[in-house]
Amino acid sequence: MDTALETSQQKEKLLKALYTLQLKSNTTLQTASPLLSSQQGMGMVTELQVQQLADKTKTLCRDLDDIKNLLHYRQDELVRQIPNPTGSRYGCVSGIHCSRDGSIYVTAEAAPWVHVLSSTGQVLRSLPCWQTGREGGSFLPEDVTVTRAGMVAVADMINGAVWVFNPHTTPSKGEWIKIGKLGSPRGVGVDSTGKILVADYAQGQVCSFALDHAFRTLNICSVPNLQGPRYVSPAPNGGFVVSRPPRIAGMVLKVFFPSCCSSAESGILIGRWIPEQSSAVILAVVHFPFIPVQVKQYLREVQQVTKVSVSVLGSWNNSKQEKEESLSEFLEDLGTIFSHEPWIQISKEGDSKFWNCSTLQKQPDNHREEEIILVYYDQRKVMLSHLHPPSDTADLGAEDASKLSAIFNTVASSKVLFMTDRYDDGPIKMTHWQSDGIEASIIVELMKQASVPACMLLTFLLSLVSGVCNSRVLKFWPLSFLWSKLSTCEQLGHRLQHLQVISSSKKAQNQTQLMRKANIFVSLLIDVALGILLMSWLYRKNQIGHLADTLIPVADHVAEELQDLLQWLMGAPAGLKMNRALDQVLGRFFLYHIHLWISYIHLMSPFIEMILWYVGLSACLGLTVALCILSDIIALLTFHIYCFYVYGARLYCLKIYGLSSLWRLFRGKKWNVLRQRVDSCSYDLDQLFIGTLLFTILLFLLPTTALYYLVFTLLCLLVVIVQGLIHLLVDLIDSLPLYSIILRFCRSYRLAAGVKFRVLEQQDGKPLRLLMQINPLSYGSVVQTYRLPTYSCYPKDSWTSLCKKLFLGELIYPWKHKGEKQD
Amino acid sequence: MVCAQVETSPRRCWQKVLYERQPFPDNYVDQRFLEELRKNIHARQYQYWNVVYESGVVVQQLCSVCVFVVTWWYMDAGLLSPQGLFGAALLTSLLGYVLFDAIDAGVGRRESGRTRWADLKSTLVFTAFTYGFSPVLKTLTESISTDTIYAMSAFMLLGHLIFFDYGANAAIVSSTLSLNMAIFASVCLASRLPRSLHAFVMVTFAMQIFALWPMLQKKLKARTPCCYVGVTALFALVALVGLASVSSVGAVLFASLLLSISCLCPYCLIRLQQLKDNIHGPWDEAEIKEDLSRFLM
Repeated sequence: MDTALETSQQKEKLLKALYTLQLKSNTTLQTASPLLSSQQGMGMVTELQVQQLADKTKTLCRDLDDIKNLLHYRQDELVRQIPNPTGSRYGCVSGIHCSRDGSIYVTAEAAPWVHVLSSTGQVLRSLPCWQTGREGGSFLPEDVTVTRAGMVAVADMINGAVWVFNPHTTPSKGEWIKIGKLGSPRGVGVDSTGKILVADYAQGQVCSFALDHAFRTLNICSVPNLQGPRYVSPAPNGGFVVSRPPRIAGMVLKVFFPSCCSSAESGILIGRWIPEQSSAVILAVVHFPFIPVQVKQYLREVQQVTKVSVSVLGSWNNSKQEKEESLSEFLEDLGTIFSHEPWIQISKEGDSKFWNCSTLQKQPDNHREEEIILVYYDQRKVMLSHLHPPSDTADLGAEDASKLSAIFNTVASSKVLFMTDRYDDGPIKMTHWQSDGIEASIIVELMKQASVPACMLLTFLLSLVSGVCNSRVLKFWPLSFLWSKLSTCEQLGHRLQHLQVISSSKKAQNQTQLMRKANIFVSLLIDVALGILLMSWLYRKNQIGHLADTLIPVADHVAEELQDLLQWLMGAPAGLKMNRALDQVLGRFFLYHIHLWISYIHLMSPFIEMILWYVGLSACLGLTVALCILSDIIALLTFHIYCFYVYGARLYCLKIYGLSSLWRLFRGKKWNVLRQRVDSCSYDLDQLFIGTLLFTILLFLLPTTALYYLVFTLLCLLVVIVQGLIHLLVDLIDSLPLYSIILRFCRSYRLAAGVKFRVLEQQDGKPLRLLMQINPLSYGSVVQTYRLPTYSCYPKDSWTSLCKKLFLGELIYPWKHKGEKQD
Repeated sequence: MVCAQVETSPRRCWQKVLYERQPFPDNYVDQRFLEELRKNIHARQYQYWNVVYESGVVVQQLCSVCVFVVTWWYMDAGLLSPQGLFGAALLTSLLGYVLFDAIDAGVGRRESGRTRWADLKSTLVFTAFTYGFSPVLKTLTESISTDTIYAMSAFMLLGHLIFFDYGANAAIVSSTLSLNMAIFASVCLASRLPRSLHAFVMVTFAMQIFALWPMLQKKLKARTPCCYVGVTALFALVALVGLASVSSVGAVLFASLLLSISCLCPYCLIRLQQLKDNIHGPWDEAEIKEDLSRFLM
């Protein structure tokens, strides 16, 4: 990616420089040429300046030549930017040459012309390619170049000659001169010494020769053993470069071959042909001997079950010994029995890694050179893996993904095909992937059978429980209010839903739902395991007793700390100017509350241990339930703090609202409810008096109330943050897709994000061999994809609205907005 | 004339309209340009003694603030007993109440439709609320520094003087805000007094001097100008004497302030009025004379 970006930037820079140069010189030329032609003298231009310019131009031209020469290797891209001068009548551009003066020489396929274009693509000149003095002496130039002498030379494959255009023979017309007798020249070029290089396509060599004044060839030499050279160009180091003709990319045939079948005996290949991608997914090899009718029958059956169009794609020849002529003929004949287009023939000789691959086309007119790519894939992994993102959510624009998913789906849905055992005495013998652990799968089958009644029992119990939960007795106001505020109840309800999902007899419709079920199951299991671990620790060494013994002093201590805090507030806290009378009243009010609270706790203390003991039993329902109970206990034990917060907030809110409306009265304004705006208003004298009196009083009392509000809000927020942390932990356990994570860890191929191809060893003349490997999904996206939904409603109001609420003294309910302090 | 001259020529007469395309540049004006220039259309010619008479309102209000502050000073110093002040205030209030109706022989009361019962109710509300809140007022600013209170009161009284409705038609005038600021200042000052009864009397007195007294003044000024001049002079004298008993320097300064407001400022106004040079013409912004408020509804 980076190199591409760099390249494009570099290109842009080069083009810009060239363009600026051209533009500047063009405009200068336009200005200079009339001036120089008409006026006498050189104006203010000195001789030195002219000299410098000439020198600079020389170096510049040299640089440009270098760049141009280097750019020769990228002719195709350059050509694409220039419109084809012959239009669409003939084929596309076949040869191009860029001369030193900046003009471009272009030849087109099947067009007897050489066009000379300016650098911007306008046709300057067109040279007709026909021999003067002869009727029908036209020829088709393949490639074009300009010799050192400035003459155009073209390669003509049909006549097997190189033509050089001599412009000096007959005035104004010029003449083509045929040079040499070469085999089939296609590319032509001029090297740095001025020799003409000719690429001979059929003979696979490059000839080079020099031309003298009478157009006789000198110093002919050739470089043989090249494979079909198409174009030739001089390299900067004095050598030359040839190019092979490009193959048409669309015609590459991809054969996905299961690596487990590589040692299978000879037979026929069955699989699915995907015509849009011209790829064949081979699923199995059917061995000899077989009866074609039975094979067809079998394939039909498979097709009905799997809904995948499985067919015979070709033949497979695994000959350990010498090549048997008869067998290969027989294999070709098979193509007529099982008609498939194209008929793929793969043959393996001995232990060679490199296989022969060929295709047979029935239609004779369809003669195209086909390249075959062999892609090995692990059948088991591909069958078990699940491509992400799932195809129903992926947008159709992702073409590559859909291509891959077609292959993945084909392999995955033909699971039935792999069920047939190697040792079955069926009419057809096949090789494909087979699972080895038949004994283990018996256990799995037994468990599957046993799980059905277990699930039914669970469902029955769950329906009973949910029936009790939904009964009308528990729906009355105070109880339902209580249930909705206790997080334990919420968590229990959530777990109940999970159990219902697991035990439901409905089959999971797709992979995602299956994963969801598995994730819920694993999360439940781990939750319960952790809960039981906690319980065993709690009940082992009378930890409950210790806990109860520490809980009461802690609550007492908190109350004492609060008392101290109130005493401090009742003095002159932090040197603030408080209203002494109001301060005393509020302080005494809160102190009385704490007193009540302490007596309540002392009343409770004998029973605390028993309550904890019973509550601890609930840990067997899971760690999350235990944590929720802990959170609820914290909420109950700090209820007095919440009460203080509510009193403070209410008082503060009253003050703020009173002050804001009285401030409007103070200015002689009022809030118009109908128009939702502040209007001016004329008040009576007594209204004004009382309003201002109250305004003054509220204003001077505000700091005292605000301080109490601030202190208790901070305390309340502290408690809420502790609760929020606990709930964050609960949410983590609830929502983490543990099964998916374990799967990703142990069987990374099961969750595929895509595939990567590794290029295997190559041999010339043999098809390209690739190994398809599965790219596992990253952990982050695993969590993101399979995250389980949690019940706790996340904060709907943002930080700003929270701050606004805090400022205005509106109540913040801790039970509905648990997690919001952390997010 | 110019027009006629132009009409004879093939060129058209220039018109001061935008809706027609005319063969003149955009900034073209003809010779009629300054014909419509007018000067000092709205300038009024003031009579010196009239202006002095009108400045009486300002003098009165300054004196009210002065009297209030001096009274508070006496209360704070313990020279004036709250009972005495309350009695005097009550007496003057009753006198003023009678005078208020007597001046126009009850015409104003009939027009406003306000009953005596409503007056009594308002009085009761004032008294009850002030009396009820006086202990709160007493302790309200205990912890706040005296200097802060003084500064706040000074600002509020200054605001009262600035926003007071002296009869001018300006945007800054707001009698509500003015009265509220005075009440705020009185509550602040009252909270510094030694006992809650003091605070109660102080706030009541503030109501009388800032709310009731200007109403009576307005009526006096409208009905009996001679009497009004006398009352103003007397009131100013009372304020001066009161201030002199507290601080002689302050009294001198205050007297010079009053004199400059009632004599010097009108003289300056009239002198400067002669220098007025307002030009009016068609370039003025349009002024909507008609009351369009009925269209706004």
